[in-house]
Amino acid sequence: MTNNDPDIIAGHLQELRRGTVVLAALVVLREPGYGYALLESLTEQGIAVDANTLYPLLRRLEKQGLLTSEWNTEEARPRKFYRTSEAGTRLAKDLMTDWRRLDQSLRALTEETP
Amino acid sequence: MNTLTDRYVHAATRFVQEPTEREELGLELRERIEDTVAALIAEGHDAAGAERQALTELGDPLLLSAEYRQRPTHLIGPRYFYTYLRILLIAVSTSAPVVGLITALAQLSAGGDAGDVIGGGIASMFSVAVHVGFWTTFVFAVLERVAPQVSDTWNPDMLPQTPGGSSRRADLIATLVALAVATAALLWQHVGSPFIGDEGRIAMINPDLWSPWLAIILVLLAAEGVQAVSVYRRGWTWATASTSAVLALAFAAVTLPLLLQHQVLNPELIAHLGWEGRTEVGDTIAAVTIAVITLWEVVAGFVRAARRRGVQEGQQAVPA
Repeated sequence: MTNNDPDIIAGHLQELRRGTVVLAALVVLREPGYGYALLESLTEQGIAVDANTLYPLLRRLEKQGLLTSEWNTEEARPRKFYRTSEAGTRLAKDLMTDWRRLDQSLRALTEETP
Repeated sequence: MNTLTDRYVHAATRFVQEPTEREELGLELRERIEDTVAALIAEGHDAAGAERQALTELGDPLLLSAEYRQRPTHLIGPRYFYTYLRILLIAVSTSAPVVGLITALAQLSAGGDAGDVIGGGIASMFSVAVHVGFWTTFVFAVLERVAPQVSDTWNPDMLPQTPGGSSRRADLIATLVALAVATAALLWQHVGSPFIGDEGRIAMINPDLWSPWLAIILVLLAAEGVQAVSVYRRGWTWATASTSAVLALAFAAVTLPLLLQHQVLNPELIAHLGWEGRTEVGDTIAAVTIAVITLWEVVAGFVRAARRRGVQEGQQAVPA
């Protein structure tokens, strides 16, 4: 039985990518950045993320102590700049290691099965 | 100034109690909206269209606010859902019939007609169910929001017992003992009453009731004994549950009218003790108690039968 329902495929892709947005945000925000700039740079790098996911995610990561934030009022409009904390950097490293391990395992699996 | 953005920010922050949190959330939303609008204008949209589109993408301000602040958008979540459901069911199914019955009996003793009795009973049952349902839900909705997140770890000891097995033997023994005590008490109050008058012992229950009512009760007690053995052998099935219901209802049908007409206590005993006019309340309380127990027996029998059937169907569904 084949099922090519685009909604189902999109749902699974979203599940697969969910954790990578956290990882990408932690890596990019080693240099301080604000919401919209992060959204654009992630999209440019081919990491598709919805604004409605990203903005609440930044807040959550800040609450968990993985990001720190500061209001920048030097420009015309105040913007909240996020930066990856030490704990965030450590987590990013762990996530990266796991991502590579998973990639290897999946490669091994797909090579085994014809 | 009262732009769409102002209105959106107001709508999304107005229920945030804490002033600093409200201000921060407002600033964050404003930053996001203005950045999005600027990007849309750079793509060639006009200012008004860009603002409208940016806000449309943000969606319902209350939902957005709940997501930003990680507030639940459900009344009762998975953490309490089954506890809530269980308590709601138990609370409504016990309180409503009891209060309904008491109201009906009160109407009956006040001399109401059939309409008053049935109507009053149903109306009070309904209003109790609504009240209990509302307050139970309310308490759980509050709990959902104020209780700290502690994982209530489930462990296998919490599993319910499967029907049948050793508990059935205990049920049989308890029932037979209770029936024997009831029979003995019924006979003893007649032949061994501790109340002694001028003409010997005074029976507690009106001796005029022996033919036929008390005799019928003795027969019913014996039938209950047979029924208990049959439940022990066959378990709770629709047949045993039905028999149990019929016996319970027959018992109530004999005792309730006698109690409500205040015929049960021996008038001679009442006169002997000087209790004239003071036993009616006791009769009503006894009647209500019997009614509640009867209802309980009827419902419990069918619930057990349904549960057992559910378990059996579950077992059959597992391939051998």
